[in-house]
Amino acid sequence: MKTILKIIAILLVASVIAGGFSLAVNNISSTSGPTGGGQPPAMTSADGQSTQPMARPEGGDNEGGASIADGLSGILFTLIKLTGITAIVLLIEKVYGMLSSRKLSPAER
Amino acid sequence: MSTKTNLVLDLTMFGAFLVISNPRFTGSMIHEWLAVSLAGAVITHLLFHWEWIVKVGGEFFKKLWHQSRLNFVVNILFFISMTGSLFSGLMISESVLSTFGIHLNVSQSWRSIHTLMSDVSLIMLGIHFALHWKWVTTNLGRYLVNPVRNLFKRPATESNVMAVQRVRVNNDK
Repeated sequence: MKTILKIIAILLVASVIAGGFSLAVNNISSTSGPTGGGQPPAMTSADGQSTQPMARPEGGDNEGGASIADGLSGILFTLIKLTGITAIVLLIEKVYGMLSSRKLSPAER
Repeated sequence: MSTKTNLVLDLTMFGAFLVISNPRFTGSMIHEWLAVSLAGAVITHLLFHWEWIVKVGGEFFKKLWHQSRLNFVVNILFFISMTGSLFSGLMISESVLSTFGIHLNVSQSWRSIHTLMSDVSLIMLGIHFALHWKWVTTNLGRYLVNPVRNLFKRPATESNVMAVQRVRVNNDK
């Protein structure tokens, strides 16, 4: 029973956040004009005539399909990015720790 | 909850995050359903750490600065970015919502938010990981590295033990 209440609390907070995102998207859509933010902008050619954007061919860029080679290189790239971020934070933590321990050391007082 | 269970859940979530962040690896259908499963795992993770959340949340405005507060802020931002990413992903999903018979007009704004929130989530995961670096490395060593290392260690045979004893006796002389 207690666990269910906790899950409801988590879902409630998540719904509030999702509601915030929905509001943001609605605002963007309403301020971006009659296209509603969801349509691509109308294109005009050099002579001022309106042209239709070229339709994307079905499956042409393999968006829905899987490519293990591409995926693995993507995972590797994500891991490199994560390593970089982690290293930067650890470095900042270390520098901060060194500075604060220097401040507190009795020799410095 | 035991540390081992926590570690297994966290490693599973980490693996799932890596796979989800590269939809080309799995294709969009598995990407979407795996993300829904990750949402469940996130809820379980939060339940495991519920006491910490309540404790630090209650003390948040009492002390000016401490490590837990930084952790708490990072975790809140991580939760917001993950919720934003998962929710915007649902709004542009092709297979999850259609399974429930829901068909929405896909807005470009949701796509932009999905991309942005996924990038923010990756950054927050890196920070979250760094802030728990000690815990992760200690427990990875205890539950993963050491057991694997022990598997490959040669068991001490009787002749080995005898040889060691002989060396000790010679040294004593």
